[in-house]
Amino acid sequence: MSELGLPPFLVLSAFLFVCGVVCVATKRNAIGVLMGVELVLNAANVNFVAFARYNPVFRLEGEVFALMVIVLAAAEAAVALAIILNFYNNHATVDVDKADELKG
Amino acid sequence: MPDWFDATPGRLYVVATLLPLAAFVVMLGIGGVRCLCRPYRQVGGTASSVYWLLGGDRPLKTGAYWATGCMAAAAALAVTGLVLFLSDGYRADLSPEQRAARWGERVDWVRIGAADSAPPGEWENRGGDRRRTPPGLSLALELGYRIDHLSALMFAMVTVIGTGIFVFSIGYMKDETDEVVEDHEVDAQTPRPRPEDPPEAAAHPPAHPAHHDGHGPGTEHGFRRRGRYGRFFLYLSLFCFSMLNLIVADNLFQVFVSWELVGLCSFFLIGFYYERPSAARAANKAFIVNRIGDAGFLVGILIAWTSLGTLNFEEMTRRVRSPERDTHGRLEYADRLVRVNPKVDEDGDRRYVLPAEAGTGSHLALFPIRWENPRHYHGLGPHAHTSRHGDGAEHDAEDGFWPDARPTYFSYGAMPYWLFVVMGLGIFLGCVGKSAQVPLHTWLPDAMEGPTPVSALIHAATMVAAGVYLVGRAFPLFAPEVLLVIAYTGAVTLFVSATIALVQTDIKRVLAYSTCSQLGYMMLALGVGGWVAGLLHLLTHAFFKALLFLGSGSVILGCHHEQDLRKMGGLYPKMRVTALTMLVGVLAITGAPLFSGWYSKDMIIGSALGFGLVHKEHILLFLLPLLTAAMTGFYMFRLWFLAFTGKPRDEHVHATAHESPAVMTLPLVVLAAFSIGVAWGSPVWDADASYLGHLLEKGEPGAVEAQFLEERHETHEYHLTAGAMALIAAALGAGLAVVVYWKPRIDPAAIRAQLGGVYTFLLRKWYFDEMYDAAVVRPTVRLAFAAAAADKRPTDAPPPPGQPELPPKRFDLLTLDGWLNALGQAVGSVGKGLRAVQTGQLRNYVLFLALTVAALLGILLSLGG
Repeated sequence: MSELGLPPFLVLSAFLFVCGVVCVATKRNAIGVLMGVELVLNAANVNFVAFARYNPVFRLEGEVFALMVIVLAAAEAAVALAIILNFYNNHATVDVDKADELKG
Repeated sequence: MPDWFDATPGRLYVVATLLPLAAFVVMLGIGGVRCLCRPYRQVGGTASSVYWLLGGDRPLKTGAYWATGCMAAAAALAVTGLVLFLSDGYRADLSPEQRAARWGERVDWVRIGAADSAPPGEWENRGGDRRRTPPGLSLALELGYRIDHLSALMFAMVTVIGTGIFVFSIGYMKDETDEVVEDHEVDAQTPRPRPEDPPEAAAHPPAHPAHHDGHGPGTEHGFRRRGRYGRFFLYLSLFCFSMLNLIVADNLFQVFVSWELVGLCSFFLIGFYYERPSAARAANKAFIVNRIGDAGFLVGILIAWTSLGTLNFEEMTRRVRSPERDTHGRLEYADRLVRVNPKVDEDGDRRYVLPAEAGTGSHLALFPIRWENPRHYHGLGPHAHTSRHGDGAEHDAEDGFWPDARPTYFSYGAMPYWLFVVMGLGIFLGCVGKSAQVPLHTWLPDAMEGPTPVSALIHAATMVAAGVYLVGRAFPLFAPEVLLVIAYTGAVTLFVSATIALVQTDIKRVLAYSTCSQLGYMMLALGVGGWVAGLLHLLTHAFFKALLFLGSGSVILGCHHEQDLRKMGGLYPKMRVTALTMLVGVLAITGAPLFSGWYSKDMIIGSALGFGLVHKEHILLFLLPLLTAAMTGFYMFRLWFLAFTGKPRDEHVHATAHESPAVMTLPLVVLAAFSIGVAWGSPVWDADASYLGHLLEKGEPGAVEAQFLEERHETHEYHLTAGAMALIAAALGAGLAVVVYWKPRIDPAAIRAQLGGVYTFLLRKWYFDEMYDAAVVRPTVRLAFAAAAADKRPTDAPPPPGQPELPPKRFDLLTLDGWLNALGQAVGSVGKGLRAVQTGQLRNYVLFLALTVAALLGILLSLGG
């Protein structure tokens, strides 16, 4: 089985990243936004791992950072879900467009 | 005895200086705690018990004893230090350097730049920049003390007199120990301006004085407040600390700090009864008038710092005066100011050369602070080079200044001579303000509003002495022109104040003007080269003026706060101790033989005569003090006769008059003893043999002798004549007072009627106050009103009910306020615009974020590619 090389992974990562950003920017459902954020984080993870694999200098760092990002994503999801729950309790909706009370 | 003390006994003085400060700090702390606990006094608990422990509502007496004890300890240390210092002078095993190290130390306080440690030669070769800091200067503001004969004697004088005044105050301020003090001079209901107020002030009566400690306005008899016994001693302690620090300071900056502290304390103490409008005004006046002088002082300090690079007295002296020691027998050229002309070499180097005629150069040569071999210095002066060349042409520094292979030292630099004169004038202006010389003397008589012990302290030991002391200390920094200004200022002051003192009727004001006059004598003496004479008079005058003021305080207290001489009379049987001690003071200030004032005044008149004989055009400097000696005799005896002899002029005052308690008369007796004998020497009847004078002579800067050699010769020649003339003049004045006031052969009212115009002129104090009022105060007030009228609204206060708010004025809107408002509005509208961007829509934010990242990436790529 031949090596794929670095570029396909970067393309995949970029695709994932753009998907995530578009998801965050277009979804009105807060859960959907959260999912978009997860996509962005995982795009970064793919990058980390790919560089760890193909650049020996970052062998250790890339993997450690990927693990870090996973932990971070878990924590972030917990906090974000708590916020969304609270928001739902107060407003009976999870539509982020309704969350504009602090606008200028 | 600790080791450090054996090595540097000068630290004795540091301890003595800090003692009054310790008294101040402790009293301030306790007072603060008491104040903090006061709101809880009714509640109970720790705070309340602390409050009642610290005296509660009644002022504590302990503070006075504590402050007095500290002062007495300082006095004991000072006397010990004086004895040690004098005995050091007889120790043969000490070199001058060792002695200096024993009696002076300095530490950096604020470091401004790194010390330049390069040796002189290297420093010199750096070329071009001649204004570089000379080596050995540390560029730091320093704290330090230096004890010499002058400061040791001054220190002893201030602490001894201070102790006397503290003890006297314990008795004099007794009223202030009451829980409620009624001030009859303050009208509690409607404070009404006094008739002598300037009209401007009368038009705007001062606001109702704040009530101290929450006591109500009281009855219509007077204003009620809490006694301020502790506060009085608090201020006194700080005052003494400032003065002591000023005396021991070895650099101008430290002097300036203490100088301002002294001014501040005088402000507090003159305005001690601050509910009285007159006292508040007098305090302001003293403070503001002193600011004028201090501005000049600051200019002098700045010039010294930039031109000389140091503020240390000794170093400044070494910079401007030619070196002292010389093995070639040319001492007559030591301690001179050397004037030179700048000259640019072929290679563009700037050097300074001696002019053909001595003392005409445009610059003042500056000397290095440390000499590698000071003994090899050759004299400076006209003969130093004319004797070698004799053609009167300008000679280069190489042969005129340092004949033996040390020419480069001459490039140490020079400062413009006019700048040096301005520096001296600036420092002297500060002294004019502090020592109440014409034209800044107007604050001193008004300062009589303070309690009498304060007047004694200000007039004798602290405030006014500071100016004369500084002139004595900074003497080497004064150019001959400045000294002439000093002499004339002194002469004018002594004459003007003496004439005013002739007609004053307030017992304290007579003394105030006599202080002005005596300070004029001191300044005059310093200006004509009588350094020892002037400072000896400072010391002797301090004793008898403190005595006179405390005596007048005793009289005032005995007469229940009556200060008007016209209501006194015949008090001698009632208060013998006060009368006799005051008579001693009167005799001393008049210059009666064998009293301390005789020795110093004799020397001053002698110096003035010597100066007048050498410079015939300045003979006025001798005639004025001579005439004033007669006036001094007259007004001092007039005061004594009016108060103590004759028939009682006011039955009520006379009937209730009484002698003061022992705590007040004891200081009087001690001070009287000092007033008689402090200047004695052996033999007593020789005016030249004053031991105190001889001590001062040892501390005299060499500059005095260098500058006034000829005058000094004349002074020695005609000393006896001058003394005799002064004595005759004083006797004439005193005799006139006898025939007018004691055994009336002449009716004073008749003289008054005959000299109506002159009398009014003197009674109005030469119209100085009116002049300043018209020239400075009124224009300032008018300007302030004009500025206020130009403001948008005349006042910040809301309009009285029923009246419409005043419309804004166009002028202000177009100028400063307009610009500032425009600026504010611009910022506001920018904020309003940016508000629209903040939509609260999460998706917008993410969009902005993504676009920004993309834009940044684009920029990065385009830069990288």
